[in-house]
Amino acid sequence: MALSCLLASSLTKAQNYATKVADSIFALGQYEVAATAYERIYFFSKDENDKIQALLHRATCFKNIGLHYEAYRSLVRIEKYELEDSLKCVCYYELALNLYLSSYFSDAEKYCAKAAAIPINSKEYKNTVLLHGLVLNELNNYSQANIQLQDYCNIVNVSAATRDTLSYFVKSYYSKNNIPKLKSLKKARQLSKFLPGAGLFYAGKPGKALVNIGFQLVAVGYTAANIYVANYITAASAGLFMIRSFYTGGVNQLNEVIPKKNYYKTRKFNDNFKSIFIKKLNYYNAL
Amino acid sequence: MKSRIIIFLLFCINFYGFTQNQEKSFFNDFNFIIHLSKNKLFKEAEFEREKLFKQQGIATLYKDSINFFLGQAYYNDNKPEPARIHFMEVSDQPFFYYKAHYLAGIIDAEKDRVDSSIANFYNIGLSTSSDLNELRTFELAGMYLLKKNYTAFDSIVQSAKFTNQLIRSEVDKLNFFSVIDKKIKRKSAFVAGALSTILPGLGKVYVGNNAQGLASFLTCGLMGTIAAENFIHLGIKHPQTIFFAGMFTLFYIGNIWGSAVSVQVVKIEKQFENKHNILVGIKLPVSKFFN
Repeated sequence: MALSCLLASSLTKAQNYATKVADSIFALGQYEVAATAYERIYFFSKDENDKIQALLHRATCFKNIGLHYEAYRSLVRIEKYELEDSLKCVCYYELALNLYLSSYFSDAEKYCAKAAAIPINSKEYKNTVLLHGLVLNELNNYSQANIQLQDYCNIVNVSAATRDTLSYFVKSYYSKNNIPKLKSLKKARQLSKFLPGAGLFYAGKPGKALVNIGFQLVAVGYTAANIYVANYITAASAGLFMIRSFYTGGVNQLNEVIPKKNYYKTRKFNDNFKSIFIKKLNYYNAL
Repeated sequence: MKSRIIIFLLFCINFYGFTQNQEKSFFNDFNFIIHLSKNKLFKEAEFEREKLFKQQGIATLYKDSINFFLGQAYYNDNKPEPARIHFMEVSDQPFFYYKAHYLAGIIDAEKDRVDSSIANFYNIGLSTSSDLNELRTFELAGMYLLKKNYTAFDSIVQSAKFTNQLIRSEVDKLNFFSVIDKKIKRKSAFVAGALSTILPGLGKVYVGNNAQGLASFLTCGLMGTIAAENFIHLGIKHPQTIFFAGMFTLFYIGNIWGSAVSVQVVKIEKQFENKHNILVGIKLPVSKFFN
């Protein structure tokens, strides 16, 4: 009995020493070395709580050096099912944040949704609601982003007037008239199939549209001229080949033009929202 | 005198405790490095390995185990170069030596460093196990086949007696691949070009690309027809006739050139496929043998 008590005490002492060493390395700013020290604690510790804390600290180390995906890989090893709600929320928040910072928005959204299902009112929970809104903003799901960010405005600790200001900003930014109108690839392709060049006009590329129409007219003219001089084989092969190439080229060009156009439009809209909203939150101390 | 004996005994106990603690620390570090490599945390595993190897008194078996398991983790993660470095660092103590050095040899062969691989297999030397010696001979034969040194391959295969069932079946496969390898050399680029001169596409049929041959024939035929039509209706001096005649000439000469080149391309493709089969053939017994 006495021996087992002695053993347990020495193990705890060793664990505490290892944690102190890792913390001191962390405090020195040597995050990569500290991450390994925390991994060592995770590996040797018998206590589940110590293991979780080690992984959380390890994730912080990676986060501090900008290795967000590595931070995610550490956090994902935490067994969440047996955690108490507050710690579970911390884990989900950190997972979602690191995935968001690594630009894995769809996966980040899943962890935000998991955190939202936890019935607590901690700082991390509030941050998760905000993060969820920003993730939805990146996913171009503006109506849901609006709902999430309105929720955040309602739960954040600020005066009623500030709350209204923030809420009004979110609502007006995501109003129907303000949301970028994205071009439909399907519609653009159908237009170009029906009337060559029309899809490019619709995509807002009149220069490219005119060039494409010009090339197609030249191809048709060349084929007609060959038919006129009874060069039927040339018209049927070289002529039709040119017409077909310019026609399908005009349609297929849209596969590149439309997504690019939509990307720049949404990027501008999303980045603009993110920067203004974060500035406002900082200004009103609502973070 | 008594006090001296007591001091000596205390020193012995202390020294024993120290060595025990040191052994435990090595064991812990060893386990930790294996854990890091299993989780593909290679950078951290390398850092810990360096730290551990700098310590005094670490047993060779620990060093070998770490080098071997780290090498294997790299190998499984498709990182052959660092895997080879670690495999080659395994010392000649028999526990991991053979598997590590055989795998290093195979990595060399995969990376087209057959000479280095052959040198490695010769360096391994003979063992007391006849099976292991047969495997070594088999691997050497495979390496000579990869090097296209058929004389050396044939002499090894004919002079050695393979009693191990697994190795014997793999030797039969290597013999089959050597026959294929020798056959690949036979087709002539000149014949392919000459056939395409007589009839566009025929050279590619000779090489074995029937579909490409038909495509070449149709393209050249169409170009020729268009050039002829333009010549009949517009005359020889018309720019369109000159253009299509030029196009026909280009396609015709291009097809002859393409047929000659495709002999080499097909040869390379077949050699590549055969090389892949040989590599699989020499790799399989190593993994089966040591597992």
